[in-house]
This record gives sequence, structure tokens and C-alpha cells, in this order.
Amino acid sequence: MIIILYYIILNILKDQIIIDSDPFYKDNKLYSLKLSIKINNKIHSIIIKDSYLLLSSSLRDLGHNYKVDVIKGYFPYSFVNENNLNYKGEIPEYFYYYNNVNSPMDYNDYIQMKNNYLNNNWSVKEETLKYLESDLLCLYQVINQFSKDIFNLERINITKSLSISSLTFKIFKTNYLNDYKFSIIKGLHNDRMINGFYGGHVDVYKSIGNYIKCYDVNSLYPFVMSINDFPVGNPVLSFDKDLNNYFGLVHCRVQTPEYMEKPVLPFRGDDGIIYFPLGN
Amino acid sequence: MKDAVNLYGYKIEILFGYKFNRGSHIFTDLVNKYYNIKLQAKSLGEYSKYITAKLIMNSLYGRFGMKPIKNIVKIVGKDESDKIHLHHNVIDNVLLNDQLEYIKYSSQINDLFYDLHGLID
Repeated sequence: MIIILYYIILNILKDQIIIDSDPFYKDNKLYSLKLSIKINNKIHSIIIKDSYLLLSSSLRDLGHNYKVDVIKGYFPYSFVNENNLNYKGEIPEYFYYYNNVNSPMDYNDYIQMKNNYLNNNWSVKEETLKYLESDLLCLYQVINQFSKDIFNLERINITKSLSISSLTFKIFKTNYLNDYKFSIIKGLHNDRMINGFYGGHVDVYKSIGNYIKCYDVNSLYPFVMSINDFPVGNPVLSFDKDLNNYFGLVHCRVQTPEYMEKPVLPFRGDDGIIYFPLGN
Repeated sequence: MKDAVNLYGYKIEILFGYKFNRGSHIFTDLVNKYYNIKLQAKSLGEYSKYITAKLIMNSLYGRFGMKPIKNIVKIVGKDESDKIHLHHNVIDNVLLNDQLEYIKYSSQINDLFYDLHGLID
């Protein structure tokens, strides 16, 4: 992805010279890309960031939910091929608009749109540019609105954060931390502690049933975080054998009961899958 | 863990552990504030506020269990690329053109380099 992006930028800015580029990459994802460009002996830098890490839903949904002026348009992707780039004429069939995997267009919307192109004046070039422009405007307005909301709530500038997690952490650190201290744990101790992180126990034990009741729990994770105690401060390595003296993490040998229908402690296998095993 | 021992009869033998201080109600203010915003926004039909509040609540714990960043990605010139190849374990590299190279390497200094040259000043 980064290489493609790099070539695109190289082509757009081929009159200028890119003197330095500094991508920030994590878990095979490009988070940001800083480019330094020399124009008239002055060095300018551009930082490109991924908005999907802040607001991770489709642009169309975002546009509707944030009630922005420009909504993402529809484009018949499968209609365009190398032979009809200069196509001008009738609007493509509904099939091409419906054939989008991500967002098939509604038929009524299609009819409404068709009325604008009664004089065979639909052209690939114009529509592509229009579509791309509406994408950019829509995203810009959404991000702008989001940025204003966050600033009004917390007085935080979102442009310094690359992902929603880091933004939230910043909000927490700036306005809610009180007197608590969190230490950043690195290296060996971090590797050991991260082994103790597991997701929740989510399994289907009974796949079919009659007269089933459904429960929808709202905001379960935030609720757990709001009522429970959490480890703070500097951790101290300890060889204490009594579990009751600990508030933190332990490295231990476990022996489960002989038989349990639903074992409670998790174990991560070499394949990364989490099991709830019986045994030692 | 304590419940597993006390309620379900698990037996454990502790080898070592880490003791932290106990912080109570650290996240309560933030969660309550955004939960109320979320409820209010839902009843008024303000979806943008609803989404913002929901996102912030649900991504609150993300940074606390973050994996350390072990690999560095750069686009570098030839001289620097040679230096990196010598000192680090290169995971991936692609030549972009005559001068530039896309390179991904682990931030730790290569063991072999230690053996050959000792510690770097």
C-alpha cells in the first residue's frame, strides 16, 4: 500500500523533488506518511494520515450520521474499462449501480438521478471527477465536525492523534487522570504481562432451542471499566506464594478440577487460538 | 483467578508475579459522562454525537494493552540502507528506483553484529 501511495505522490509532484519521506507503520498498517518537498529552495512537509483509524465506518454511513452537506456519490465501477474512458452518452444501466458489493444503489435513487441525464450527457471523465470530489468533501466535513465535537467536549486537538485509541487515551490523560500514575512497561516484563491478556469467553454451548430469550447488553466493556479497580503505579516483581496478597499479574502453574462442564481459565495455544482446557 | 481458586477448585502454584497499586474508579467519570451523552443523543436522534460518545467509550482500553512497536519502516537512500542491512535484521525491502529503497527492519540491533564488533559506542 505504501509503495503504491508513494508512486502516486511521486507522479503528482514530479516537478518538485521529494527529499525525504517518513512513513509510520504499525502491524502492517500505514498510520501516517510524512513527505518533505523542496520547492524554490524552501522545504515544505506534508503529513498524510489515515482517517479510517479515527472513524472506522463507511464514508456513506459517516456522511449520513454526521449530517454533512455533501454525501458520498454513487459510481458504476464495473461499467468503466480501458476501452470507454472517453465515453459520453446515456447513463449506464441500473445493473452497474446495483452491482456494488459495498453499497448497492436504491432503484428509486437511480431513477431520480437518471432524470438529470436525459440529454445523453453522462461522461465518464466528468462523473469520475465529481465522484472523487464528493468523496473528499464529504470526508473533510465529517472530520471537521468530529474535530469540533471533540474540541467542544474536551479541548483536545484531534490532529495530533493517529488512532481513536490514542485520541481517547489522550482525553483520559488530560482531563480525567486525577492523581493516578501509569507506568509504561517495556521489554521482558511487558512480554510476560501481555501473555496474561485474554479476550472474553465467547462460545456457543447450545446452538438450537425453542422459546429463547434474547438479552442485549449495552456498553458492557465501559461498564466493567467504570465499576472495577484497576492496577496503577509502578509494578513490583514479587515471589510471594499467596495469591491473596496480589493485585496484579502472576505467573503460575495451574491444575484444573478433574471435570468441569465450562472451564473458566483461558490458555493460548501455539496457534494463537484461546482454549479453556482441563488438566495441568 | 481468585474466583477460579475459591469457587471452582482450581489449584495454582505461583512462580512469580507483579504487584500493582489498586486504583479505584479510575475510569468512572469518563465512562459516566460519555454514557449520558450517548443516551441523550440517542433520544434526540443526534447520531454524530451518539457515534462519537460510543467510539470514545469503546476505545478507552485500547492503548493500555498496546503491543510494543518492534519494526521500523523507512524509505531510505543507498548509504543508509547499507548501514541498516549491516546492523539490523531486515524483514522486507523493495527497491523503488535507483536511489530509494523501501525497507522494514526490527529495531533491535542484530546479534551477529554484537558478536563481530562488540558493543557500539
